[in-house]
Amino acid sequence: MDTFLQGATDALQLSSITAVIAGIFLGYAVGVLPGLSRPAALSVAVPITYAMSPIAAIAFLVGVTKASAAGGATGAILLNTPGEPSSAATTFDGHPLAKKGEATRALKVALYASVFGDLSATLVLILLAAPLASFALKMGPVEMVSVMIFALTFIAALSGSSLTRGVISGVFGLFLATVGLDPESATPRMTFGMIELFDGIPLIAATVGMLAFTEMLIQTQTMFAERKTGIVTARFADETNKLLSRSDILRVFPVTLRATGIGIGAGILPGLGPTIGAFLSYAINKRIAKPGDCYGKGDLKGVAATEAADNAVLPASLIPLFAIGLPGSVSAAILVSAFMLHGVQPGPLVFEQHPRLIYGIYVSMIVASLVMLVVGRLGLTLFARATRLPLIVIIPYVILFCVVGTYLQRDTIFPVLAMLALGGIGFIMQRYGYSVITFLIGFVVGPLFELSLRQALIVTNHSVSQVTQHPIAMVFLAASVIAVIFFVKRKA
Amino acid sequence: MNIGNGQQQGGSERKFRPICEFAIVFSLCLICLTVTIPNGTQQSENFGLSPRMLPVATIVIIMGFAVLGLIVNLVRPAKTTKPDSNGLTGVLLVCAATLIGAWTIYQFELLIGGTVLIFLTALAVGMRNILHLSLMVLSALALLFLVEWAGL
Repeated sequence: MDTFLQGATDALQLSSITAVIAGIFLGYAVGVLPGLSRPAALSVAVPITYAMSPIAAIAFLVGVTKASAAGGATGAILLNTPGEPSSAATTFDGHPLAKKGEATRALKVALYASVFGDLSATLVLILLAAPLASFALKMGPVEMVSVMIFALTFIAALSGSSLTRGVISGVFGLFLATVGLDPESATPRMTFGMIELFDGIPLIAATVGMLAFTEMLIQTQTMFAERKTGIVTARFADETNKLLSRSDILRVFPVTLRATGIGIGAGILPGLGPTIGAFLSYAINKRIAKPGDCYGKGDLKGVAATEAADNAVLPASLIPLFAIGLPGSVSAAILVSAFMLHGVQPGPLVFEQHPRLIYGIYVSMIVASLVMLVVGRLGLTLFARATRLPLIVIIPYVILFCVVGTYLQRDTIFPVLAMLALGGIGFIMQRYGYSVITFLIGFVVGPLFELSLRQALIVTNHSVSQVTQHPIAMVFLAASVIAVIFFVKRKA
Repeated sequence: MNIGNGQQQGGSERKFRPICEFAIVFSLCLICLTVTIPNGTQQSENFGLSPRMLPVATIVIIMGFAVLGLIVNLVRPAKTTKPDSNGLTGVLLVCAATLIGAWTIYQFELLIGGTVLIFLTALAVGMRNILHLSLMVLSALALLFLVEWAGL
């Protein structure tokens, strides 16, 4: 208890709280602007922390990570351009809500669900790190393949009006994800001698191009068409109700709780990350929707489903990091470098060697969640005003952020060209009813799916029957079959 | 999600469109199978699966679903809307402005390139007010300064 109080005292010192607040502001800026990714911001922020105390440094980085996850929803809701790939699923319901004149309500739900997911996952980290980490160790390649298959079945659920077009888009995403070095033999695939393609098509270029740039092209076309025909339709309905009622909260709460659980699961399992976690949560919640729910058309539940899961991933991804030294996400992997910079080696011994620091980090994480709530709530009114800006101003700025954000990933023009090309493809796909969302699910899940599949084939010696010896995998495969049957029945 | 206020299609067009769509998707898949994948990917003599396995499998699945989509659309033609071609000039202008801006970033770095980019895209979407245009360029310049200064 003494050690805990010492850690808490460290975390509540002015320098630590200032670091958290600075991190939250930086994180919010990164989250709101399309193209600037969380891992990139963290990578830049790590050297800044060199002069700070270990607790202030980690608190600063935790602030950046948490706020960028929460801030990503703002662009997704107001402009249909997610600031982060993990906020892409928030566009499904967030933007339709903004169009209906419920932007403030959507932003509020996104913020509260984010904070709830984040805080709950932090408490789970504090209380259950060791037993959950041992569960994560049981997830071998065979189990991961089954989880990926489960994730891919949701392509069908999110495919929109045409199942065949949705599946084609998803598989096209899988196809483009195979560009780069083969994960087993390191043979270049469809790189045509371009070294830039050896790492594959950059994820940030794909998400920014397919979502943000495509959306700007669509908005440009609409604007020009309206000028030509003279028929102008209001972009957003007037906001008559900005408040969340008790019934809204009671309606959204079970979804938030479920989404938090899914986010924690995605965080604990190394490799899944916030993007897959958010999509999975949305698809699962949509599938078990109650009569009267209108997922995809502007439902507060849809916003809560993605945001709670997205924000629960980071604290949960620290569980395997603290307990067994294995980072559960890219952000957690970058945090490892910050720990090491300050002389801390994450792993099972960290609780014995640096208990005061670990307790300090736990308290800092809770402080960061609360600061995020205050900053987000204060900024909400300001953000909601963005809907009043004319398109003629919004489009050039968003395009600038798209280009600058992707350019900064590698300081070369290649990701920008990839983003523009994918933006063009996304525009054509949207025009003819092919879902860019299912494309992104295939693209995000693809590399991990292939790697796990190849590893699983080696582990099982290419024998499918060996899968029966993996009960967790069997559970996920059974769930996939049930999900497909359920979906086909529903469509029929 | 289809764009714009498209027009309802007639009976013959309802059958013609799926055939056209199928022809485009299927021929692109054939190009990938016969040209892109074989020329872009070497066969590996290492253990395990061929590097071509997943790309080929995905293309075959797309072809399968394209056939399925054609059959479904011919048997049960959907009431789809024809995509609106109004406003495509704007899209082309914005694309051109973005490409020029990206090229300028490549040639003259972020500060100059980014400023040119916002200037050109603002012009492309129809911004003609000199004061607003100047404000947009100056604010973008300040923002890019901040990005450079922060070391992002």
